[in-house]
Amino acid sequence: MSFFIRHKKSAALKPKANPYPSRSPRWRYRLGFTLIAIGLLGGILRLHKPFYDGIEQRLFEGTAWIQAGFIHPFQETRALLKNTHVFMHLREEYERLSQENEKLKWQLQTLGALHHENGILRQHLHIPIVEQCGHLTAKILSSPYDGLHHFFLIASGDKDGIEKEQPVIVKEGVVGRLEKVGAHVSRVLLLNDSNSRIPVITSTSQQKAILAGDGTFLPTLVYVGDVRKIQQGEQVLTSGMGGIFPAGLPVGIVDEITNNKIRVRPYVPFKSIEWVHILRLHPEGFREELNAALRAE
Amino acid sequence: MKIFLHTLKTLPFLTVLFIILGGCSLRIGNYPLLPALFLIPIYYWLIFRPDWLPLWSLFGIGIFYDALMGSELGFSSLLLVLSGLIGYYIRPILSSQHFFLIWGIFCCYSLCYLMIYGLLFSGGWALLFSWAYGIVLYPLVAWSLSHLHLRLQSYV
Repeated sequence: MSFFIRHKKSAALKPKANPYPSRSPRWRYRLGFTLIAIGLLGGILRLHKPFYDGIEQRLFEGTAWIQAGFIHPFQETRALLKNTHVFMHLREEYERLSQENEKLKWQLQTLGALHHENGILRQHLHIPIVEQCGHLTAKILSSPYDGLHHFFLIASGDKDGIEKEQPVIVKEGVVGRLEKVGAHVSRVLLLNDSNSRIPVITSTSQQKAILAGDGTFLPTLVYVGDVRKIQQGEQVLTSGMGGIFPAGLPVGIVDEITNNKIRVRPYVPFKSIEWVHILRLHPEGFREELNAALRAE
Repeated sequence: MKIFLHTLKTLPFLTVLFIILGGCSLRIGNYPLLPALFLIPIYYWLIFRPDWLPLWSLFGIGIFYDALMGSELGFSSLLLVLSGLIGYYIRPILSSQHFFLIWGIFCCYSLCYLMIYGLLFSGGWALLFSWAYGIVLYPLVAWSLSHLHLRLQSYV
């Protein structure tokens, strides 16, 4: 580096504070004008929602694209190191995957019978059989899960056929839903974000509620039918109401109940996941199925 | 050489963007480094080279940060432009000889910024930890910035 630097003075380099006289009225005038312009323009744009949403969407796509480009080399390096590790333990990995494959084959056989039984029950209850939802697996680009920001950026977008509000899950349970969908990058709103609301049901006491994120690591249950019936350690599942999440997806476990405030510990290890699955539900078909089920009840 | 000088003037903007992009996925323990981390280069440039970080630049950085973090567009811009205003009055009382004074004022500035930021986002402990990380990391980041700034400047 030293050959690149040409020192003009032999003295030690130190930054000099306030090298410019700045108490000029012109500067103050310019700042005041800028503040007023920002206030006026921002207020007008914010009130005109379609215009604001359009700008927000474009800015999101642009910034997410820059973020993805910035993170890409780091992720590739990490993947390379991980691949080296996997390559070194190839034999053990092969054995583990073979065992897992056998287990999955067995589970698939059991599920086949259940699927058949489900079809017969649907016929008896006159519930229309809607098209099965597919899923898309997407890589997480960035995950600032840190108590202040609760979202993931994922490397999938419009081009992959995903849509806003689709549920995002991993094998442990519900992660959240798609908040913004760009062309190649999308943002997942996690279930503990203060804007997240998920209709849930408790497994044992069968109490319907809404899981509301509040910016902490443990979201709370609100609008509970009867708080006294809920037990600590009870499983919380999605109830299927609301038309976004299908019923029966695991969400978390009731962690603590204090002063009628119920906190749920999510099953998903947000810090360590690298991939997520996006359920490609068809909202119309899903709502139709839900309404038919409610009518049947 | 003139082109290089003009390119050098974008250094503050680029360093702030670099820290936002790099710090976005970083955390220590369960708590974030941002937003206090990106206040360090902003404070540094507002104090030492305010002419290289003009208002439009602060506005752009704020919009970029809000769009990336999914918060209300323009909120950070407003706070950063106000920071520019405060920096304008604070700058005359600072001197490069008193590093602890500069550091102390950064502590107050970042605390005020995060308190206002906390009104919009329910950060709580996360914001407090972010502030603490910002204070601890300030000497390291400021030292790196000063070397980058002065060496490149001396080259020009």
